[in-house]
Amino acid sequence: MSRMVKFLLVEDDEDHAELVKRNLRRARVANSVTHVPDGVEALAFLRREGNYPDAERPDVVLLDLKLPKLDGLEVLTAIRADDELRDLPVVILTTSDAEADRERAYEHHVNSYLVKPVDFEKFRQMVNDLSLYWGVWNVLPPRTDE
Amino acid sequence: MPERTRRIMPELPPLAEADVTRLRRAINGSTEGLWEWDVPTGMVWFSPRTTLLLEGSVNTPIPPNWDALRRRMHPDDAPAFDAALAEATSRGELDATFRLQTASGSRWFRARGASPSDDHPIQTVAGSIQDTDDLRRALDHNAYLAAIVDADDDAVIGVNRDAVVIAWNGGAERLFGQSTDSILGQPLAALAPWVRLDLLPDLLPRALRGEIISGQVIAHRRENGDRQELSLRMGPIRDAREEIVGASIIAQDVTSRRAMERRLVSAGRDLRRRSDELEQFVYTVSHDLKSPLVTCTGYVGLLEEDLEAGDTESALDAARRVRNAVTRMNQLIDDLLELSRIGRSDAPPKSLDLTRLVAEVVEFMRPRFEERGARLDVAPDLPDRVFAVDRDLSRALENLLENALKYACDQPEPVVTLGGRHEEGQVLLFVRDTGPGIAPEYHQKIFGLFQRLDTAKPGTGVGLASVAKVASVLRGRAWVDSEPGIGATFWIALPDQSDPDSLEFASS
Repeated sequence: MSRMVKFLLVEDDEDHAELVKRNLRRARVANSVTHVPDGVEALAFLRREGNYPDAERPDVVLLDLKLPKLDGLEVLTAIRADDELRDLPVVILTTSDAEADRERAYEHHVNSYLVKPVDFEKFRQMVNDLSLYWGVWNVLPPRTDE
Repeated sequence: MPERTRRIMPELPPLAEADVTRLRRAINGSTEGLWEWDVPTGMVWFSPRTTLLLEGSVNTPIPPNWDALRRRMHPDDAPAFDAALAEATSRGELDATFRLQTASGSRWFRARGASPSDDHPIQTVAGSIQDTDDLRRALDHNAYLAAIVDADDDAVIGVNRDAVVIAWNGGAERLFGQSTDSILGQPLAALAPWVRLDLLPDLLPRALRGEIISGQVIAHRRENGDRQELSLRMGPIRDAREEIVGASIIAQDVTSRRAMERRLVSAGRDLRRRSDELEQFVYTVSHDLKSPLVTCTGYVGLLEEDLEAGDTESALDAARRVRNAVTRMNQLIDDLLELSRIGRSDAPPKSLDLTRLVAEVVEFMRPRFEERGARLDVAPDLPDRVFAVDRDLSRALENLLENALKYACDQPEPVVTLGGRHEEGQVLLFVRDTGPGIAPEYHQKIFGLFQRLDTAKPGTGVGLASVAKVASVLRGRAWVDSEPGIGATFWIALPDQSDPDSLEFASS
């Protein structure tokens, strides 16, 4: 049973955002991606504040670690502290495989930690698997707003 | 014939039988060996106790002459012993100290005696021989300890309950410049005021009350103006009945040791900072340099697909992104290298002509400001000189001006002001802009390496990190004052003239 999986991509590097989006478009699972460039925008989107009064709640957040204003860990912490958002699946998507980053991400209850592969084929495979996993295999928490 | 003047001993009355018995008991009971020397014949009578002292047993009597002793005598002491015997035959008195080989090893003895009459020539000398070894060793030990205490570099001082000096060693003479003779018996308060002030009021009464005080370090100026740090230990002196009769004071000059400790702490702090920096650098290489690499390989992959599909427009877009990523990577590497050069020992800080330095920076930046239609002002009353590294400070100011230009240009009629002033031992430099300002929560963060608030603006996020480093290696600091909507003022504070030893330039 396949369904449309909705991603929120939080990524300050426009090239990386485009790379993820283009690869998701070719993935075998139907999906939609909303891209925001920093942590403040991400929280505004999730809370339907500011520019995003009509934002739809995503199924999964793809979160970069190094972000301007609020970095990935701060966004993750805010999500886990927010009664409305705490059960939202969050996937860290970063170029860093530093031990300290991994440790802190899991301490803040991240659902998954992915390191962007430098190899293009692997990058594509990863994005495809990502959509497959979250769109097909993984059962999401029940949605209160549906 | 010399005239008879007096009797040395009164003529003894004849002894009764009971007296003889008592005398024999006394002779046997005495801890001293008794002897009687018949000078003309050279015969010596030794009491049994003498035999016991020398042989450890009364059953091995020694031959009745001085040779018996001399054969057991330490060769160094024999000449003096012979001289003493010779003197006894002329003056009638004997006093000799010597070592004898006994059953329990070599021991010190003292023989004393006198002629019982003033006959001339002397006929008889009688006296005792005493084992003085334990006493002698104790005295030697005391002298030995006293010599150690005296030679110690620490000042060792003893005072009585009235704070009158009763002991003053060589270390105290050297440390306080006051001779033992001149201070013994004087109140400690008679010392030079600079010593007295620190020692007396608080610590001494506590020691006299029985407290042991250690680890106290006092700092003061010596008479010649030098700063001196003394580590003090104090404690009560008690007599045999455990009554406190005074206090001991041990003072050690720890001036150079403390200076060394401070230098070590400072070096440790620098080392830690460098280690953190290195860690940050490694993290950066793994993360920030990998990021454009992901972009490159990703878009080269897409580019191949675009070319196969004949999508020229998308292919061109991919190629453009690859080129930008490579350019950015190159810029990152350049900026990182520049950051690593700040604070290196090849360019030590010195006193710089600030007016000239600012003029050169402004001249260099002016065309860029004119290009963007922004005004660049220099505030009046710049300090004349600043202690810094020419190259580093120039780059820091250029960085701040570049940032100001980048953000101020979003506003109409942008104005950027560069200025400085002298304040409380430091030179403050500032760059003020009329840009959008920065929210307080980011005031610290923006000085971190690769921290960028607005990724739409060009830059790598190294500029402010290097400004902060330029300030910190000179023991100064950099910060920002800003209110959103009004503008921002970036500050660099540099200490006037740092102690060159304390800077990490000297040690690297």
